[in-house]
Amino acid sequence: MEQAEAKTLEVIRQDAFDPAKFLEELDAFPGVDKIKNCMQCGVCTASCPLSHEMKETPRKIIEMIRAGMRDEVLASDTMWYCASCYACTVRCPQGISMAEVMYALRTIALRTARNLSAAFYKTFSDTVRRYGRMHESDLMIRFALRTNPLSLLKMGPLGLRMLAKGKMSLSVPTPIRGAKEIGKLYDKVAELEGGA
Amino acid sequence: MSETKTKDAARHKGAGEAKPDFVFFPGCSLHSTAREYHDSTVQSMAVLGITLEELDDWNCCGATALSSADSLLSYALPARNLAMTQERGLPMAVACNSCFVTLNRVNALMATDAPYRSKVEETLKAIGRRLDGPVEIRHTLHIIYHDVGLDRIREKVKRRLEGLKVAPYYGCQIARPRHEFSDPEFPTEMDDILEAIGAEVVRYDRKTKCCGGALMTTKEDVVLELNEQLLREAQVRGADLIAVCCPMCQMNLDAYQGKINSRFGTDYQLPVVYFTQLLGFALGLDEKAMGFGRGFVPAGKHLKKYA
Repeated sequence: MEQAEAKTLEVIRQDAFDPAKFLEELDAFPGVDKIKNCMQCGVCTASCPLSHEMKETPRKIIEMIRAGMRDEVLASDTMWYCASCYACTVRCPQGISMAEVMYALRTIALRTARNLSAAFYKTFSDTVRRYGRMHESDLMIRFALRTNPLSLLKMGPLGLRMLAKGKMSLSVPTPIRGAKEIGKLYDKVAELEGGA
Repeated sequence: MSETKTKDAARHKGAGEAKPDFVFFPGCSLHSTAREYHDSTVQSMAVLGITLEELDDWNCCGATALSSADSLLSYALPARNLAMTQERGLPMAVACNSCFVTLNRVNALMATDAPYRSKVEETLKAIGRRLDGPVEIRHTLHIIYHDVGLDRIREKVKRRLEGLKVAPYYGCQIARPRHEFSDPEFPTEMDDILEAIGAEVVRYDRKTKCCGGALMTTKEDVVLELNEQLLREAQVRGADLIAVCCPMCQMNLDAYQGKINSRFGTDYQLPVVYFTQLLGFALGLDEKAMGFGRGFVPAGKHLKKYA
């Protein structure tokens, strides 16, 4: 009992975290600088259609960021539930763009995360690089192969109905004429981000 | 360079042809899952006197998926489309909410002098393009409401959809975060257009509540719940069908309605159509050409009496 308590205390020890460092990392993303103004009113959490599903609510995540709890924040599932509906963003009395905070957290977490959401966003990006545009069937098949090939069977019935309605095509996608430009954009971004 | 390009394009279109009103950015969905949105938008706007010219060789805007994967890329990709629009010298029209929010996000950055902006400009330089400040980006719903106007719509209506009860569902990314619609949570533009074509607009408090968008792929269970709530309110309010203006909303509410029914033991039979399909149909365009047959939940029986 006494030992357990000591352990808890250790987790919240101030010097275990470095608030300035995490804030600085986030500051590299445009539109997230206002989080220092958060007054913990919780309007974001109350406005969020999915906050009840999250381990940590949006309000709590902000406070964890400001406490420098980088690992805990990145291990949370909060950002993977954000649908970018901007309900929190338009209601925040301090003008914080929570949607942008969530994008930033996802981008940082994506570098190491190995979950379904990370695989989806990466596959999406790969598809756009390949063709310059999105191709749903291509995306879904590659996503399934990357995560759980058996899920292709589960997607089958809906996929077939989509094909029947002409909402999906199995033809080989044609890249746009400027596909080379898209490739160059990706390379340039990698270069700039690698150098930063 | 941009002037030459514009002249080339004009020559290409043939002498004497009037300059289009907007460059149209369709986005990937309007070329695949939402072709009926594409066709009904272009055709009904033509009847209303607005001509759209598809942006040549446009690329995917990246949507919210790319904003989640790579920050700089999520600005650079849509910026290419804006740069090409600026070269063409016309404002841009967008029908997909997700493209709309993504392209506007670049615009907001271009209006600032943040150091991040020069990074985006550097990526464009690498492909021989440039973007000078923001581009005028308009949602097609906004154009129909403001540039055409309700009076002109009323004048042009051939079939008044008298007695058709419609729930107006805007989705989240059209009026938010700050897109010059009448209200970020309770906009009324689509309501007014639907009333102008004779339909009865039912009260719909969830008109900008989120459908979950692309989370249907990664968080299906909870997103089905969100959509069940959206369908439930439409049903409770007595709607015959739901009108939408976003391909993601349409897909989630329509293609997944069967799954929702089996999951929650419900029996929703609510067609989910684009407001432009109803608009075009009311303007006298052919029911088939408006693509009503492409929905999973058939809308035909509600339209029979007006055909």
